[in-house]
Amino acid sequence: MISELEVTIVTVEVVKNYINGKWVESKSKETRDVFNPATGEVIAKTPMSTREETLEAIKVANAAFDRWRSTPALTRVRHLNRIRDAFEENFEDLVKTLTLEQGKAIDESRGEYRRTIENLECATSVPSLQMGYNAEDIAAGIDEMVIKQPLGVFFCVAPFNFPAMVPTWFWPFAIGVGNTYIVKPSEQVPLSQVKQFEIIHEIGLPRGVLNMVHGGPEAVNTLIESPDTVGMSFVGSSRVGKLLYKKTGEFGKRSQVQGGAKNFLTIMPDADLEKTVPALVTSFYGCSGQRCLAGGVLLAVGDIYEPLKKMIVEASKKYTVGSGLEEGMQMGPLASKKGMEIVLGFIEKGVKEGAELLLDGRGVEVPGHPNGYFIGPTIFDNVTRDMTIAREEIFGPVIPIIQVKDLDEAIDIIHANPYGNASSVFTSSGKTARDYQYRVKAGNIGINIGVVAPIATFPFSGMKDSFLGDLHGQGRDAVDFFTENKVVITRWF
Amino acid sequence: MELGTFGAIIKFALDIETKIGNFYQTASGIAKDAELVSIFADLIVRGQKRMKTLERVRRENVTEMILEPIIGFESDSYRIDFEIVNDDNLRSMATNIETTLQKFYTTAAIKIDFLIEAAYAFELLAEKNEETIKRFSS
Repeated sequence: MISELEVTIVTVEVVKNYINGKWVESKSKETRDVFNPATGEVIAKTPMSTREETLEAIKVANAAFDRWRSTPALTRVRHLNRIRDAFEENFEDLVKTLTLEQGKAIDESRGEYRRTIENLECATSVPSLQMGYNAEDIAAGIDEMVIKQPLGVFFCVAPFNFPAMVPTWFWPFAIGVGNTYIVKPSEQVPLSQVKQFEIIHEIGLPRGVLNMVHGGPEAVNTLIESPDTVGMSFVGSSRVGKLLYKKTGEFGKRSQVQGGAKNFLTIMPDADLEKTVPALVTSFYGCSGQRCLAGGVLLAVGDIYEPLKKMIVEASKKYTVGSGLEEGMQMGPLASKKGMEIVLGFIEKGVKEGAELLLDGRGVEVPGHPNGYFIGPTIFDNVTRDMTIAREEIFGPVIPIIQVKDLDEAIDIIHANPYGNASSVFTSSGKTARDYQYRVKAGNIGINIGVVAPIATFPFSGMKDSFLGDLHGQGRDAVDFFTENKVVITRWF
Repeated sequence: MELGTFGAIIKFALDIETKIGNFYQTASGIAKDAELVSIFADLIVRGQKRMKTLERVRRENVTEMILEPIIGFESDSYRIDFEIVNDDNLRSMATNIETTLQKFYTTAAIKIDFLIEAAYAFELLAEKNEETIKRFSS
């Protein structure tokens, strides 16, 4: 087992902003504690940067834009290649910092960093992806073309559940096409971004191209209100996302808002349970249930209900819970005490509203970690569609099971929910699978897949309350979001 | 101990390769047979390469959708006795080690067949063990 103390972390008490290629201490007196969720210890503090500090980051990013956009695309992506290589070289150190501040199992942190690196790799395709198109003789002697141009300063507001990866859904593509950028990490888990920026600093990106400002609402409002920013990418709760989406609209900014989720997993009577159950437990318990692609409700169709229930309880009992830094551990703590209390509240509600607790993860003991934010695998049976645990996002390792009579009833329940991030069906029937992907209103559909996580070359989709905007993060969508299609019509006399 | 995740398998492989590297280091200092000393020297170098391979496989093959639990794979089946009694049994000990490793990597490749690259890497490691077994018996 790796001791928490063995992990190299940035030892500064209050993390610094990174503005114009320099580490800058925030003048703000307001800070937020950063905890190790496995022990409850404070490991750093995040400054709530001021409006002036945020404006400074915008100013330098804006000043860097003209020179950066005129840098040849292949030169720009060489920087991304160097960052990618440096992330690979520092892989284990990055991974341990991520687990230290976020709590997730070390393998899950490795998985997150693999995705982080894949985004950088994908963004190096920008010289091809950014190419426009043209047509000759749209009228006699007149040609027309589209140029995909960068726009200026973009920024992201990142979440606490994937603090290393999510910013790379955006900034590698944004700066790859010639924009400049500001990352606003989650104030709860800033260390992964600090670690990444330390590496990026060594690479030597031109000053002002990529900046980082820590903080809360004041920093975010400043970023949105400034006339010198052009667009926002947000990942977090739907409640905050809706407010920010409205505000970016008022200020005439582009935005893409990835919100909450309640992902329904439908298990058909013809599903291969031996293969399905491992996928299901990973979906519900992976990252302690704190991901927008986590399973939210298990819909057991017809006769599969009893054997499925039995197998999933057995598999859940074997799921190991402990410090994420311990190799082979399958589930770490919740990322915060507040998050843990919210999940405990949902479990209480489930009991009060009449669901039957088949497996109770409350009070799970992890030796050596009495103050960690741990909740073990939890399963509810006899859940009805109107119960709170069947409707709302729990963001914890809880499986509510609902028995339904057929696929139509399952889809009816799915469509009654306001979210539409992901949904999966487990079946041996191609017809059922086709029917599911055709009918279900969710942005990411899984066929015999528990965690429907699109790779970097595909958009991370989402529908209904789970996504506001039209262009998603990652892949071609990202290139389109970060560029404007300028049309040029040419006639030479 | 159950090797229930990809990470647990790699961790076990790294641990056992480290112990085997130490064994060959010690054995090469004890062995009187020049041919055996030469083989052990090769295996020390091989061990270092294998560690790098395993670390690369771990770095490059874990993505969040494939962290599904692995069932029915126990480390107890691959216990190795590293205690050297005298230099007479070094060849048979080394053969046992290579045989155990060959079985481990072959089974591991099957257990993680959903990770094609990792499974392939394990198959190659198992093949190298088989080659070494032949070297010891020739």
